Amino acid sequence: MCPWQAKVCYNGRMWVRSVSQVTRYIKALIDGDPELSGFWVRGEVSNFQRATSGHCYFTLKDSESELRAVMWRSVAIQQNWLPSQGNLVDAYGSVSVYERGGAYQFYAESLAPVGEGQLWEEYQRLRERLAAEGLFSKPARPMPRWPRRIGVVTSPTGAAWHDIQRVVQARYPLAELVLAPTLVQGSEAPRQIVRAIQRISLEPDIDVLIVARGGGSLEDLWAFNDEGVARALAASRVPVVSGVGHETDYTIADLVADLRAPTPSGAAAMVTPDGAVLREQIRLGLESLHMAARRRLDEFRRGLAHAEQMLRLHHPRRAVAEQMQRVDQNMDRMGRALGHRLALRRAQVANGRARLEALSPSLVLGRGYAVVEQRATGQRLSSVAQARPADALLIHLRDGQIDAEVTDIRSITVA
Amino acid sequence: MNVEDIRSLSFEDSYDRLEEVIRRLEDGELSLEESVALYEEGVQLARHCGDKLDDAELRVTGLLQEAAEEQESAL
Repeated sequence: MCPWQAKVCYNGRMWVRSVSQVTRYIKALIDGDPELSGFWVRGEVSNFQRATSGHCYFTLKDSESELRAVMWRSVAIQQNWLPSQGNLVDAYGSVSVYERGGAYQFYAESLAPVGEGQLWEEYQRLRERLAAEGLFSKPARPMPRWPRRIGVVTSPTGAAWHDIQRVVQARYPLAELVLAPTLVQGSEAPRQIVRAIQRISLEPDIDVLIVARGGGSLEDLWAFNDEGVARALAASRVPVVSGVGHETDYTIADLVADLRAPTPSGAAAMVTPDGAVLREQIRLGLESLHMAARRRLDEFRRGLAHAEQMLRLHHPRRAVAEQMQRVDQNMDRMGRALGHRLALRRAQVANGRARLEALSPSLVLGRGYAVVEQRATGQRLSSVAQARPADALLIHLRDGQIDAEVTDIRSITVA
Repeated sequence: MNVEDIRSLSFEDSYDRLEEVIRRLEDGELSLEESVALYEEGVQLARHCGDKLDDAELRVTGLLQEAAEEQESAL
């Protein structure tokens, strides 16, 4: 039944309807028209305003008309992209009436920029601007050798978070994952991601930060092309690894990050040492240890053998034997020297004897000389003055003596 | 470093120490006693590292999301 027939007033001349009755009637008409429910409309956005409540108000217009539009917060936060002044958009939604204002409005449930290139162009512009600022050319910081606390900025319900936990559990379960949950899609996501990065930066002992999201279209990944997110990542005190999306597409977040992984799992692997490799290293280390220890022992053993040999070489018995040999050698030398001198002496003696023999009286006597002595005294005469006439003399010749008597003495002058 | 000291080490410290022990043992210039002590320490460290890896359980800490109602549309 039509609502106003029941509740109208009569002022004495005609039926009078209330404002709200009229408005409700129009609303009912519009709401009941399938042509005005669930359709696409294209228009240029103007007066786009986002209220503190999160609801968005704007006007869609073309060259001839304007259509006031609303997008509720619950819808707006699902949007990957929100328009600004002058954007040409395709909006999906329905027309209804705002009763308090008595205005019909378009209630947008989805908004998309007209023309595929628009998001891409916006991305390119931001990318060029941040590149010119040097945000992408900072030297990449090294990953921690032993990550203790790994900060993760992602959705708590997404596959990305699940993958990261699985990979870290498998590779390096000694680490701790610190999740800062956030939306990763929709117009609300950039602001939340920035807050999540800031919350992680307030945590103590975080060694590295992963920002991650499962793959998606360029629109799905839009939150990671946000300038605020880029700046928050660039300001991170710890190295950042991005694991956003896609094998091929680079988001702005990828470009700012110290390392870029193609997937969330890849990011988790980049920040953790591989437990299997570590186990192998430990096994090899143990082997090196055995070998080094054996080598050291062998060295000591060889050293010992060498020392023993040296000891044998320097045994006292051996020294005595050596001394003995030296003594023998010296004896030899002494003997030789002695023999030499003996021969010399012998020659000297022979020589002396020869000279002596030359002086021997018997030899002189043999040559016809005689020795004359006083018979009484035995005094040998070498001068006539030693004899007087009638002295008895004894004359020695080679083969006997002659007794004689001095009969005359004549002296001659000796020259 | 004795067995008790080693048991109190973290995996990372234990692993780094193991590398150092191997390096020192390979460098030589040690007394026989020091060599033997280092070797025994190294064996303990390797065992400790393995135990740590085997026993580790991934810890997960969740920071609070700033506004709970926003989780409705989380991926």
